[in-house]
Amino acid sequence: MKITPIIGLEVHVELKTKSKMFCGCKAEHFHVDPNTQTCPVCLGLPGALPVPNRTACEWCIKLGIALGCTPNLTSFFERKNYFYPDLAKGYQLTQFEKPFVVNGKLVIDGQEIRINRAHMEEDTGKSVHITNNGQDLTLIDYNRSGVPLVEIVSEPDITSAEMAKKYLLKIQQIIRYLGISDADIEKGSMRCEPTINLKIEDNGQEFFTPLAEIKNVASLTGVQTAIDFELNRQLEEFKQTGEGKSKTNKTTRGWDADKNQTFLQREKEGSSDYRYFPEPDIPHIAFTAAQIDTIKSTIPELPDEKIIRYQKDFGLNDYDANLITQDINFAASFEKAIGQKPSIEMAKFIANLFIGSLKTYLNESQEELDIYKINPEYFKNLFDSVSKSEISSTVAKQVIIESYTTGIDPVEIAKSKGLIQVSDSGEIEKFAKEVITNNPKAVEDYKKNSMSIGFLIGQLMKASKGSANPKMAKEILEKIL
Amino acid sequence: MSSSKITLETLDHIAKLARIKLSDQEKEVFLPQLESVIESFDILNSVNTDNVSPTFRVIEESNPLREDVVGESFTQKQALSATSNTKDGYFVVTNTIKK
Amino acid sequence: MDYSTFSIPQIRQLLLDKKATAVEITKFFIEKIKLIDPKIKAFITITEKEALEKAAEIDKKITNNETIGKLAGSIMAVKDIFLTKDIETTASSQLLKGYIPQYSSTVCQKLLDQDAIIIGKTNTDPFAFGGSTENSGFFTTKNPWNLDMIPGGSSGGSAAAVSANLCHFALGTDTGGSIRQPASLCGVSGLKPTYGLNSRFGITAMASSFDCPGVFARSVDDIATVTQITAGHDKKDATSTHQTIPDYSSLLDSVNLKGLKIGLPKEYFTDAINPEVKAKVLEAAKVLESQGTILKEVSLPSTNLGLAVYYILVPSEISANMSRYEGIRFGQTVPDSSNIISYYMNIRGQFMEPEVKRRIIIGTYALSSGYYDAYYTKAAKVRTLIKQEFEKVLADVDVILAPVSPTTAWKIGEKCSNPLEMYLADAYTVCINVAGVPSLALPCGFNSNNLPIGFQLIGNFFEESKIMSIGHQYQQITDYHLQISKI
Ligand SMILES: [Mg+2]
Ligand SMILES: [Zn+2]
Repeated sequence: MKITPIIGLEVHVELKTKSKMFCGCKAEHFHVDPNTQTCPVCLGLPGALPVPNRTACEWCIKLGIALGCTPNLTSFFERKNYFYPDLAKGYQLTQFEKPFVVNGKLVIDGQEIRINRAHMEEDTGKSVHITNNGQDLTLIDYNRSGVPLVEIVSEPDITSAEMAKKYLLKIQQIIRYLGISDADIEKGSMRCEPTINLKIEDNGQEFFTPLAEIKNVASLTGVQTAIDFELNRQLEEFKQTGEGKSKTNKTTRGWDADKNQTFLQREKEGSSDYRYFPEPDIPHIAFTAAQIDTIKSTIPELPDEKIIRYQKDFGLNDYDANLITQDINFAASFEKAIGQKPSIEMAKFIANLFIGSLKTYLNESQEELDIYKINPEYFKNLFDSVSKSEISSTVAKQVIIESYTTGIDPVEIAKSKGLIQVSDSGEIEKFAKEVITNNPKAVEDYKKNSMSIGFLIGQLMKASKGSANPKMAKEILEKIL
Repeated sequence: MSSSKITLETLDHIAKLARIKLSDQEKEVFLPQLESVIESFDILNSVNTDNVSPTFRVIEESNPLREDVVGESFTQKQALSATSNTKDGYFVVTNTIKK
Repeated sequence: MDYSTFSIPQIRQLLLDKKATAVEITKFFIEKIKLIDPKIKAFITITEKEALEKAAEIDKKITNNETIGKLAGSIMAVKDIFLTKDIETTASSQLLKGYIPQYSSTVCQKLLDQDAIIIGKTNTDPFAFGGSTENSGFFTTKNPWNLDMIPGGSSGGSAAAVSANLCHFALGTDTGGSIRQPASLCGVSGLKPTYGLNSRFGITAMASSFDCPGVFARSVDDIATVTQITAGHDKKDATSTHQTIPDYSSLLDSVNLKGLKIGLPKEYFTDAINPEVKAKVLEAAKVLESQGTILKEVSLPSTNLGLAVYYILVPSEISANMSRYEGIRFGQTVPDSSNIISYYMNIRGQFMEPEVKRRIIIGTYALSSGYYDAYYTKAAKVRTLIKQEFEKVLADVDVILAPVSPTTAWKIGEKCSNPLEMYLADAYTVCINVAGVPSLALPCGFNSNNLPIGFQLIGNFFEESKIMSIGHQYQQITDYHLQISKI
């Protein structure tokens, strides 16, 4: 029996525009008093009309292009009709037939995941369910009503929970590179609804289990565990019932993060027939090829391109390149540090400082890397003195952090702390003689067994407060003895 | 397409979709009325509309977009002023997840 | 002094010449309304307090020698689907009984800013769904020319108010004839502008791609003055035009009638039309011919498809536009229901008038899965054909002249039992809305029972100044628009 998971993802992303999608109310609604950012439009009052936000539309197109989609030069909004108290107008403005951008793809672990579309729509209000002296009530806050949402719909090309998670992370990374949303799943500015079923092949026969859409998954790990749970559940269910997929038996299931399981959610009655039709209140929206190009030109170099360039130009390995490009600000700081046309050696050296030293420091101190504190000069100086072996790479790793926090040249720091390596043989000879006279026993041992020179070297390094060049120390000791 | 007779079931389904409660008397009155109205639509079947594109808006002036600037909003008091269904700054309805 | 016989500019002049105060004028109309409105019931709300406050404000401006608005002192009646801040707005539906809007419609605000005085909110079919005001959730307005007759609709209250001289002008909306038809049944003038000329913001939506706010007045002259103020782009209505608005008043004599081509569409002069109406409308055409215009028979072959297109597309848009009326953020509420769905169904079942339910259900049906293409898409395609026919004919002639209503006002209750028959009364108005072109309805005489008859001048997109100029010149040589019923 061969089992293949079939997973498609609907990802909703709240754009961080200043104003809402169709009115001038403030869009940022996190921790704001209820119903303090509303107007006739987002409250769905009689006679109110929507006027679309240019920036939101352009960002939707921008994101689509970054996901490899093709823009529709002419596009329009449609009404999706259903009743729910958090949906003020009784219909959601969205795009059905002609979304802004279509047919993109992302590659995860060498496997292509097709993206059907990225379309523009509006968020709903928020519902809070309470019990008030025995009465079950729903409280509604319309601050979120009308906040711009981009919905990214993948084809069912994802074949594991792990791949789903990587796909999400990739989208989140691209969105943050574009700076159009904080795409924070915990805060709800990025939401994910997987639709799942299984393909089961059993001696020549093919079965498909009924589709299930999973709602309210509120964390990245949640997505993975929810999908895994649902995959197993469907397999078990199929083994018992043998029920196959049909046009009518798609279900909506909720994710219970406490019990770590999905549960059947009663679907909104009648919601199956959304009666889409073109929004008559908004003329169609047309972009010229030139306007699209202008939008395109605002897209920065994306992580995948960076990784390739870092490997090609700086000889970084795949792992290091990935680490550095995870966050656009970190990557930008790295590129600032290495300056124009760095040697491969220097680029690699600086990459190691960023990964091995700065990243660890930032993680511990919970800081964002401040690109303005990055001084290319300093990094160059440090690289030069290490290659002249005036400074050991260990010392370099320490001083670069102090340099970052204080703004002082790392080489100066090394000097002031006497961490510069002594490579002048006269100097080292003084130390050597001193060590030899102070350690006759060890000298005896050395005479018997040349391997025991290590102890003497250690003593010399101690005497020089670690500043002596260990290689030379060994040579000189051997010479004298 | 020829006018499909509207059954009581259809009417009930549509009324539910539209969230309108109809009394039995209303249904009795509406059914024949809707039928005659919908029958009158059949006249369109005689029209050839191959390669005619639909008109959704009679005037299509381009650029309906607004710039992304924050304007005035209601105060909480104004927002809630038109209904008695309020509680602690929220609008309130009977529980939506209750069966 | 009878202030109702003055034109809008004359009223303003009276104030400037200190021959009258805005308060005097307002009081005159309030008295007149209290005397006459109980007979015709044009008003749902009389805004005596607000009107007098506004009037006092204007008089203060004058005593302080401040500049006053272009409409200073003019009394306006407002169809009750225009939202008016702090003034109850019901849309003539039980659903909105007691609703006090938090904002005002753009058109009302523009007029108030020019010192017009709102005297009250007028009756209509609920949410403008109808052609007689008989569907109103409160009462039926009566035709000032015969109290047993309907005033037409949906803007029947506004038409009756102007007809009975209870205001200088009134606001209405025309989605399928709701300004032109009551105007001609009540013997007043009314303009349905090009779609998008006047902002729809703040007016309860019927069919978003059809709705046209417009104005009633006795004379085209006053219509031009008011339209000058209301017309133009509104950044709150994405479908409002960006065209620059001409100075309508100064252009009233601009069109040269000599050699002007007027098309008479043969589909509008069939036997389906009442002979007396037909005769009077043709007489109006002859009057214009006597001024040197050339009458020409034209054809709008798809006219017979207009009603079907209209009664598919309009209810479809209505079904969505009415979804926000569910008793949560505004309007009527009902005691706690077992669950949210029954809450919705109770509110809407209990407070929606039958015609409101009917249209929502027709529209929901037309949009529902399986029927969408057969009805909505098909109708939208035929809409293209109808629009193209108007563009073709209007490329050939300057304007189209046609009857507005196939009959004069009918008896209250006569058509209530049969909505389809009621819909047929719109046969000569709906196609204009389907196409989106402007049309001006003008009185052109009376039938043997002394009931008014009207005709319409249909122009090409944004040619309001052309049809108003022709209408104005027509009113210089006729006096039907000056006739007043004896009540
Ligand atoms: Mg969506
Ligand atoms: Zn708003």
